[in-house]
Amino acid sequence: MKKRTWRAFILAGLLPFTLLWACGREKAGGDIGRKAVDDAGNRVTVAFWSDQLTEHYGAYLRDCFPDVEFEFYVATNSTDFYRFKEEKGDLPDILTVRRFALSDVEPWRDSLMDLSDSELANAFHQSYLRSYTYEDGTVNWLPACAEIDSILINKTLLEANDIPVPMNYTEFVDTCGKLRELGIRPFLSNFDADYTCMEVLQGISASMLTSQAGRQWRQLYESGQTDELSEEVWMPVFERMEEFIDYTGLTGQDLEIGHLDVFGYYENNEAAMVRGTGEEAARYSEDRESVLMPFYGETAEDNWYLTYPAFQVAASARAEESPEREKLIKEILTAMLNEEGLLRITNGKNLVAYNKGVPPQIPKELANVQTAIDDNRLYIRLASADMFAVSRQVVQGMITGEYPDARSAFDAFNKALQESKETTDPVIAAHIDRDYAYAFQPEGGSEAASAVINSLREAMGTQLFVGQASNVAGNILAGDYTEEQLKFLTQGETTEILLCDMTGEQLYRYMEYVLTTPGRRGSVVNDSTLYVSGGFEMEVARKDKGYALERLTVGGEELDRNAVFSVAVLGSETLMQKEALEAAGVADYTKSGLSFKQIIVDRLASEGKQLTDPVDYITLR
Amino acid sequence: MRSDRKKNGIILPVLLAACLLAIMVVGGSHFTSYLQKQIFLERTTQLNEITSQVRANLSNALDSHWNYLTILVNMMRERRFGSEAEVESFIGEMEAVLETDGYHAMLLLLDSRGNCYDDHGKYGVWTDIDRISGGEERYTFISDSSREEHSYWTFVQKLDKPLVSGDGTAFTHVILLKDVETLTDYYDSDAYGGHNETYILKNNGTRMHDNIDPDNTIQAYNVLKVLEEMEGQRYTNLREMLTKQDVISANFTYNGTEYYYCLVSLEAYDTLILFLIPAQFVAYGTVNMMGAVIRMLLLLMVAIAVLLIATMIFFARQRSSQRLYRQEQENLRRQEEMNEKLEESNVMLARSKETAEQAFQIAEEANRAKSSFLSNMSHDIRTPMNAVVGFAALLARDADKPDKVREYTEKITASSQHLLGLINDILDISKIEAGKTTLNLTDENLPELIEGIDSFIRPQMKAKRHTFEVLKKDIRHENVVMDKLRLNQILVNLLSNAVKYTPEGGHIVLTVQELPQSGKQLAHYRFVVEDNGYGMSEAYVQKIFQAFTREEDSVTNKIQGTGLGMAITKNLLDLMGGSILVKSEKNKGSVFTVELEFAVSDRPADQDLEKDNGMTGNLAEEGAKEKEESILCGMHILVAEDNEINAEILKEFLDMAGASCDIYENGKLAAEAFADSAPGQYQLILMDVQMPVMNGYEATRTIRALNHPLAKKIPIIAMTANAFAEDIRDALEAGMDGHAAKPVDMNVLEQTVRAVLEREEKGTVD
Repeated sequence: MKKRTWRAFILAGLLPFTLLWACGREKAGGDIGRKAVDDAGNRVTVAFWSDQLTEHYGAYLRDCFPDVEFEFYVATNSTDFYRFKEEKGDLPDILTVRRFALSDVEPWRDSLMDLSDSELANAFHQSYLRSYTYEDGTVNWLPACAEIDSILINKTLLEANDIPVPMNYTEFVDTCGKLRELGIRPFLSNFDADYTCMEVLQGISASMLTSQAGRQWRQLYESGQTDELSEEVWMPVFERMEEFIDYTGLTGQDLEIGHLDVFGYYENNEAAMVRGTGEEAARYSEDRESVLMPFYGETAEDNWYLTYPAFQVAASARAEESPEREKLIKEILTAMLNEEGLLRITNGKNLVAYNKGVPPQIPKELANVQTAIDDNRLYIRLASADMFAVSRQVVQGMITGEYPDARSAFDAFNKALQESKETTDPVIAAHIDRDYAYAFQPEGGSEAASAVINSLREAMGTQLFVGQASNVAGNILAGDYTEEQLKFLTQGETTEILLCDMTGEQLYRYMEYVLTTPGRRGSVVNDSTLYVSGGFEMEVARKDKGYALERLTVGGEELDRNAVFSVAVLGSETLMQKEALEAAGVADYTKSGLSFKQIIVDRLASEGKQLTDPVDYITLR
Repeated sequence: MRSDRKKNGIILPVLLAACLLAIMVVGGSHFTSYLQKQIFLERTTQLNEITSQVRANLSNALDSHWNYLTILVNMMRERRFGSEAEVESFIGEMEAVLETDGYHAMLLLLDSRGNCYDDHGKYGVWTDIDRISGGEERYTFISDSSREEHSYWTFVQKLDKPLVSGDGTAFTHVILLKDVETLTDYYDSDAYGGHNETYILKNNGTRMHDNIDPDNTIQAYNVLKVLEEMEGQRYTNLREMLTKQDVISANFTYNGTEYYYCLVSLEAYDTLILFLIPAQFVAYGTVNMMGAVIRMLLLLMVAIAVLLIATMIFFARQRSSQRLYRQEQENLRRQEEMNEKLEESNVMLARSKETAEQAFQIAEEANRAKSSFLSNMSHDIRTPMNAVVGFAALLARDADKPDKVREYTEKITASSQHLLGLINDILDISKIEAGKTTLNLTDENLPELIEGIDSFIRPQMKAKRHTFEVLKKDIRHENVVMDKLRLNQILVNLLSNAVKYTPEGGHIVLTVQELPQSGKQLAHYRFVVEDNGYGMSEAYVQKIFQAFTREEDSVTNKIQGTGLGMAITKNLLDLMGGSILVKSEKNKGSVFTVELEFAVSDRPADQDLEKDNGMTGNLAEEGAKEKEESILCGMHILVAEDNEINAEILKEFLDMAGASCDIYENGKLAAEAFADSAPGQYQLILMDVQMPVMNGYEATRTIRALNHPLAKKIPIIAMTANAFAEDIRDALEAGMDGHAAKPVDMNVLEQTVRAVLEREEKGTVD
């Protein structure tokens, strides 16, 4: 209590200076925000690879370092995002990314802190650390715990239909056939996503890719010695994929099915098997028995679980300029990667750590995983950036029939892979005229978030718009942007836009819900994750634990609680917003088919507009 | 100058000392640096040797394991496995042959899918499968992935041709694992008593295995990076250095302890060996010896420094002593100077004292003289007074005896005259000594003055039957400017003494001689009074000019005298700038020689005025006429006199002379009486000077200023106790016509009146 009070005093003291400084910087039109963050001393920017880290992991860090003012935002899950940030001189203090290949980050490795001489690196098993070690011994990135990613099977559903859980590839094929006969989708996944395409492609052929030839090719590929697929290794892979598409009955229509939809089918017993993670296995074992089975090989000895680090973490080398800052950052990294932190990543459902002294914690849903761990049959996905993109292109093409056979797919893959290596001159799609600081200011909020939310409100044509600030990926800086880079301005994988009408009273209840409900995807954990309003203003009070809504206004006038407003909500329907709207008494809402990331890209690129001007949307007391 | 010399004197030894010290410091530093370099060289050389030996040992050990593995692979080439069990059996056999249990080793086989086989059978995919997937034939590394939770040196040989078992399993690799701990002996050196740490690193500097000694100095994953960043580390890029040199040895400091390390590459195994040891354990003996040398050197330096300091102190003290000596000498010199000055001062003081004493003696003498003077004066006054009083008493007793009365009266008169003369002399000398006497210079004729004196003194000569000669020699200037009265007084004094102190019938000569002139306007005269009288003793001659001194002998004691005459004479001569010389011989006579210079006058002297102005010396001559008839007879005289007795005496005297008078008690009444008088009522006015209401001078001026027809003509004669020359002059200036001093001597008065009336007749008075 006392500590918080003091912190509040300190922050209150610092804020006016920060604001003044920020104002000065804004006029100068320079590198806003970044330096303000540095100068703040105790302010640490953490870019999360996914909004799933915010709800528990972000809260955990906040609690571990009460004196640190964390600035969280959700980044595009790509090392290219950080490369973009690095080029802009705007790297966050701590970087997290799931999609990772050492070769992708090597060009800008000097901008990152070398952790090879730290206790942090020393805590890792050599066998894992080797994958992150450059030839000169430098270690910039460290892996968090392993994510297990394989086939989630609704055992209850299978058993209900007298179908045993398959134990090898042949049985899997049989099972698929039986399920199809029952009218149940044997296997579904969000093939609209590149990672799904890539993981399924590699997972179902893991036994091939882990053969001596497969390993040998991979080493050549990862070391840059080859940029094309080995026919010996990969032709069987595409042949297996061709078969897979065939017996699972995947069609081009399935490419429309998103991640949440997939689990909708699964929950509704419309799909018996989906690509899932250990955490999802645990989540969907509450009302049924779900088991996470490996990607099947010919025999049980050839079954492999696909795995990868939940994410990799690195720190900006900027921290090395000050020993105190470096120490703080390393302490935060340690907290992120110790057992406590790792459990927060998996929400305590399972834990397979890479660092020493952290024993695996495997729930019963993942019983088979333990055997695979013991036999070392964990296939680590080949996850270079180009592999994601090309896998999506080729697998989707195979599903749609664009690539009718393995050969055409193989050739297309190789071609695309080589094309991705070719460097082309960047095409400038847009120019942003001014900087927008992401840093949250108690009097006004986040400029960058306000500009994005107001732009969305304008695009959607609603009276009001509301969404979490952390959906905006940090500072938006003036300059030229390619279309790819415009996508880096916001996160946007699972985030949707929900449209509805709300009375003023309902908006009050909605805001109260999202401000005070913890542990959900969309919960507010600190200032940087507060909601941003478009078309109305909020007055919020900081409490001992969390926040409390005090007042809503429109143009400075008290919000009419009886008036009806058209409202757009940015967030995940299934993970929080549905409940939030229900809590507000809004049952009738529609989901926009538009991607909010794309709205921003289109506004800036196709429409040639600037972002809508930010406004002071919040007063935080 | 001296300061510069002193500075130079200090600078040289200081400079020398500083140079010596600098040489010692530089030399010591150089020598220490040299020793340290030698120690460093010794240590690194020793480490290089030992590490090279370790490298050789380890290399040999690894090579020997490769030999084992090669033998094994060769043996395998001949084998055919029908089943998995045969594989297990074969592995067991080979382990027995190689005695792997005793050497903490294990044999493994890998199949083409990465599955691993040991003597217990297959157990999944080998953890380090990725490490041998680079396409090489041989791999050597340390693995932490074994189920035994140990770190193993791992020797992997890819079979040039996979062995396919009866069930179709293709065995591709043979692996020999050797517990890292068992190879430690190869790289731990006994030379350092177990104080060394050995790190087996990959070429990139990272640790090769997880299981490291928790006591190791460097615990980090990237050992070389930590090593490069150590304090005092001279190499910042060890990997690059290793490409240039086979062995790197250097030192660094960690947590205040100096360490030495040696880094060598085991190229064949893609491995680095880092040998680390605290400096104190490297080249211990040599360092101790060098330490002893350094200590000795330090002692030597300290000794030299002490010697140097002592020498400097010695020199400094010597210089200080010299300085002190010089200072003492200087002080002595100054002291002597001071003493001399003090002595001079003492002499001066002594002189001053002597002078003071002399002054004191003089003062005392003067005091005594004054006492003596007073005593003498008292005696000399009392003597005639005694006669006056005594004979007055006898006169009263013998009033009826006319002879007695006459006798007594004559004696009283004589005593009174003596007393009067005495009083005049006393007053005269007192005035002269008080500096109040001034010369009344007038144009005079010297022969006339001599004649006047001759006339005055000759009767006294006659009275004692002396022969008296007046000689005039070489008189070229007769008219001179002089105070006639004073010269007259001097010569009369000398001649009177000659008369008195020469027995009757003596011979007295006055010689007046003009000497050669010292200046054109000055006439130089010599006056010599020579007698053949009693003479004086030489002792008396020495004090003859002192007041109240008289030769005391039976003869002179009977001669009446004031004892002031010669003193007055000497004082007057001093006043006039003249001199007097006395030569005398007892019973032979005395010679008084006076020399005077007078300004030559170009005007003849007024002889009448001269006679009238109180030349008492001439009065004796005039006295003969007065006896015949008093000039005062028949006159009616106005008298101004405040003293009743004097008035009565005067009235009686005038009455005796046949004159009458009106007496008024002050000047004012007298003037009024004259103003009221009828012309011719008074023929003469006798005017006292000191009177109440109006003094005599003022009354005279009043009378002269009256409109009375005779106011300007009536003779007024001062009759006063103010008898000095100045008083006479003042009286004349006030308008009076003559002066007669008190006590009233009728003869003098009559002579004065006669002279005034005669002048009146000649018209000189007006």
